Amino acid sequence: MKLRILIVFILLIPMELTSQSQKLGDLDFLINVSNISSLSSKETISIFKNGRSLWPNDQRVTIVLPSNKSLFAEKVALELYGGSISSMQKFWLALVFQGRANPPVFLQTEEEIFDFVSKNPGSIGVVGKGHPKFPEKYRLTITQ
Amino acid sequence: MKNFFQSLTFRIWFPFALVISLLLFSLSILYPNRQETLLRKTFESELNQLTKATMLGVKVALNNNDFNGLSEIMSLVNLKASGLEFAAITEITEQGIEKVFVSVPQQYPQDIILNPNEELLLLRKEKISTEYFEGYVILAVNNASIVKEIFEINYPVFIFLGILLVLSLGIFFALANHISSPISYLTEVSNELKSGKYDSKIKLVSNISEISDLNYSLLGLKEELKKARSQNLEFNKQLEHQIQIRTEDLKKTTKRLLEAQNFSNLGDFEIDLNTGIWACSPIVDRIFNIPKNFPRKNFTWKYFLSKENQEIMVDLLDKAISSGQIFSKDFKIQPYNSPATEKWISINGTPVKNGDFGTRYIKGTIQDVTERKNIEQEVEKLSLVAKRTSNSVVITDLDFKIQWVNDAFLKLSGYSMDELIGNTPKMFQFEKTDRKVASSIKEQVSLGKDVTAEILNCGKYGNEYWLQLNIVPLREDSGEIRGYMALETDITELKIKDEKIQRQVDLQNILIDISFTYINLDVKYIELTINSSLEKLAEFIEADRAYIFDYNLKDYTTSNTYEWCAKGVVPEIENLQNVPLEYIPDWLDQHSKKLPMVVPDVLTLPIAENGETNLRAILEPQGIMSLITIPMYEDDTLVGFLGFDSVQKKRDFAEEEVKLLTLFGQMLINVRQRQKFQKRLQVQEEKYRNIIANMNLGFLEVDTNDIIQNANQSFCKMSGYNLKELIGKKGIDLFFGNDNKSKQIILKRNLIRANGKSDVYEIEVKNKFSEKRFWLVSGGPNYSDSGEFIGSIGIHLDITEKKKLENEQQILLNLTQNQNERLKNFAHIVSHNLRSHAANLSGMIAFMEIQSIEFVENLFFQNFKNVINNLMESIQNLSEVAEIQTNDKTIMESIDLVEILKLSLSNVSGLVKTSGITINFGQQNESITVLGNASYLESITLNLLTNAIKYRDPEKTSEVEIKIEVVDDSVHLKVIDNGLGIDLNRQRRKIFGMYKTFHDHPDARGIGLFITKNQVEALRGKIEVESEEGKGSVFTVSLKKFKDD
Repeated sequence: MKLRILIVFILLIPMELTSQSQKLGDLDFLINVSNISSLSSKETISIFKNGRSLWPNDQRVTIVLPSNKSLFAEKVALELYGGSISSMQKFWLALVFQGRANPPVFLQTEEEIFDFVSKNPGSIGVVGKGHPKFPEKYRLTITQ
Repeated sequence: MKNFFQSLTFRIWFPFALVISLLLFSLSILYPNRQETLLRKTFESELNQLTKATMLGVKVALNNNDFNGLSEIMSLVNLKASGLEFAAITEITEQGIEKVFVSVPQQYPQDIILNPNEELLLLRKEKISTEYFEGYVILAVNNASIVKEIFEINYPVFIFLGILLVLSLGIFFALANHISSPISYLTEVSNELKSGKYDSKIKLVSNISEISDLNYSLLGLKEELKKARSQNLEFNKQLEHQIQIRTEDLKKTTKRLLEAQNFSNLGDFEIDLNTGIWACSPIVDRIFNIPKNFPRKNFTWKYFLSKENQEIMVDLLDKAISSGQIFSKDFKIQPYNSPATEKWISINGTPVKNGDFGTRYIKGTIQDVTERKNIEQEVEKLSLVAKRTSNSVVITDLDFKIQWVNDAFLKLSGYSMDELIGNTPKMFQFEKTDRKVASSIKEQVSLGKDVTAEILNCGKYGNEYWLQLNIVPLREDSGEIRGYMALETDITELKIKDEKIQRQVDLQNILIDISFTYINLDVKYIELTINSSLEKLAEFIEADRAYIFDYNLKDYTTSNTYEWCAKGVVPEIENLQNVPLEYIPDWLDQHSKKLPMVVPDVLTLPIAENGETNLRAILEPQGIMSLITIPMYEDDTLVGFLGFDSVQKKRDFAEEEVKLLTLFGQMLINVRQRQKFQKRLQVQEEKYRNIIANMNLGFLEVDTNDIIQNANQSFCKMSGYNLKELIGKKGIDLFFGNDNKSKQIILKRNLIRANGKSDVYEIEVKNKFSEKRFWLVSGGPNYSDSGEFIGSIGIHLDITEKKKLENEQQILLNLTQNQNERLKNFAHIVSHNLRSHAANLSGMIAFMEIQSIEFVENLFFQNFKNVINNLMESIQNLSEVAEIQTNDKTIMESIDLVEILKLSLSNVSGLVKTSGITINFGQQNESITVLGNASYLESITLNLLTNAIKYRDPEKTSEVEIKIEVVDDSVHLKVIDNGLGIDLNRQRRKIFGMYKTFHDHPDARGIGLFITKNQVEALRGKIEVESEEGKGSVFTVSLKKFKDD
């Protein structure tokens, strides 16, 4: 019985990874860091999960996320944090409470996000896919 | 330290110090307590605020997506800085269970967060309630950290209080010291004034009015004291002067007293009868030998007294206490720790009363009177001695007037004390007293000298006595002579004895003188000398006649042989020949007992009765008054007597005189014996002289230089020289000519003689006629009468003829040895040279038989072959015999005879089988070793066994028995057979001869037993045979048993 469960679990792992990398496709990312215009999906998720505090050029990483009232917040929570909006909030609550992370910037609309990222070097943001005003200059291309 | 606590400074400072210390101590307790309360409240309030702020931060973050506030708050909630134990958010699940959502520190135990111990922790909890989250914010502070925090806030206060305490105590101490130092100074000054230091300056030390007054008072007091001191000094000087004078007097008195005490060995003592404490002067300590540290209480003086002395002392004290009287006693003590030395002490004591309370003390003196007692005892003894001594004691005054004499003197002199007192010793002198001696005594005594002298005195009744006087002056302590004491010893008997001894010494001297005359006295003068000796002795012992009688006990008579008579005394020698001994039976009886016959007074002898002749009857007519006769013994045989008669007066003889006269008699006997011996010696000397002169052996005496001193007639005859030609010549010059070798032999012999050795040797000499002669000489050393080596004496025998015979014998011996050698060579030729030729012939015959069969069949040739074989065998046998006989030195070793026999039996085993004979040898397992040669023994045993087999009796069952017997150092091998046997009556002498056969046996050659005998003899053994024809033979070979040594 245990063996069967283990086999199913092993089979499910690549499926899950595939689905997550595919889900990132529903989001557009933007970044205001010189010389960085593309990142792998794995790196991207890691950065959004407080995996990095400084960029290679020593700029501070500022994460920009949609607030819970944002329309695409649920997508972001699901694709980047693998859960609901509340779990994303809890994620950050735990980190901030323990002082292990700088708190991310929560903005309600895409425009606010576009504006913030463009004005704050070192920031990285996420919005829903295909916003017409997406500043291509700051687009972060997600590679596999 | 003690002084500090008692000082004024301390006493001023201490109350202030105590109050300040208590105040500061109270402050140090109360202030921190209050501070803690306030701080704790502040802590709680701050914790409340922080908890609420955190809760709000969480709410804002969750509701408004603004985490910045929470981040800032959490930056404030720094655990280390804020002293928080932990901060946590708990979540209440849908099931209503509270779980820790997040905590700082991360790994903080959840159970403590969820169930905290409120005693240890100060805890605040705020609820969070949002759309997505339900839970609590919890912040906790550790009480210990709060306490630590409070302490950290308070400890500067403690330090401050401490510093404050030290500073205040120091300041107070300085103040106290400032106040007290003038007072101390003034006190010190006061003390100095008290101790008489009035010259020290007094400072004004304080403006305080009370102290200032005191200061001025002391200044005034100082001046007053100065004045008083100067007055005192003057007074003291006067007083000291007085004291010094009196002290000096006292010292002198004490010194005199101590000297007196020391001189008289007198010390004082005191005993407190109530307490038992006692004291005594050092002299008493010395008398009793009391140690310095001896405890002097509780009547401990008893411990250094013996039990007996203790009783005496206690008795004396008791009596003194009860009677209240002075006591005094002399008694003997044994000093402490020295019981062997006794002392006499004289103790005087008096009881001392104290009012009506009775006797409180005993005081007194103790004096060591040992010396006095000893003197007293000595005097007592001397007095007793003087009274009771057998010697006389006389005490006179300075005028020699007798004051006292002892009993012995009264007895000796015959006078009474009254008759003697007041007289001088001159009253004892009489005509025989030596006046010179008497006046010399008086003169010496008057000069105060001790005098020793001998003097003859006369007693009251005319009795004469010799005295030895020892006179000493009697002196006062000042040395002044107050009289004389004479100790007189009666030496009358001693004087008589001295005279006797002197007489004996004189007699001895005469005897020595006489005996000296006999030494080396020529025999022919002996008669005259004996008469002279008789005269000397007779004159000495004041005899009128001296004589010697010889006893003839055979005829029972005695005859006078020598006589000397004083002038006027008629000789009796002619009348006194062959006097019958019956007349003097007592005389003879006495002499037979080796005792002298002494008649001090002839008139006391019994008178002869009825005309009979007795001793008195013989002596009285001759006018003899006294006589002595001494027996003379020669080798225990009574031969005569020596006698001395006193005709003119009676004479008694002392024992020693008798002994000396006996000695003289014995000396006469010796002289007469010597006379006889000398005569005998002369005869013997003559006899031996004749023997030496006439014997055939030559006698020669030479001195140490080989010069001839004497030779007998035979030597003269041997040498050809007469005695005159020999004496004074050197032997080596006379008899050896130029033969230096022989001369060396003689000189060596002389050296040997000097070492006291004798020997015998042969030597070749030449006689007077130059003929060569051989002498056998027996020489020895010659000594003088004093034992000094004076040369050699030799006895010579002419052996020339014997030597000739010996030479002839030697020639014959050499000839025989030469012939023997030739025979040996012949045997060698036979055994070796002939054998090789015979062997060649034998070889050639064998070769010829192989070459042609005709020779085999030819009878003549076969006989020739037999002859050649017999020749070979004969040569072989001869060579064996020759080898045995020429081989003188056969190697002899240890051989086991049994093993040899076994080997021989093995060799003849084939022959035994074919002949059907039985051989018995029962000792095959033994080991019997003999001294021999293996090859000879093999040959001997083999020959005996083959003979036994060869000469068996065909008509009997043949048996041979072999036996080995060991007897002492010999081993006997016996081969016993029951064969044909030999008629020994006919053949005994031939049986071991060469080519002797006794049977017609074809193999008999007659050589075997000859070789066997030779071999046995070569082994230093022997072979014997017992045999009977028709019965058998027994051959016995005797060999030497082998010994390890």
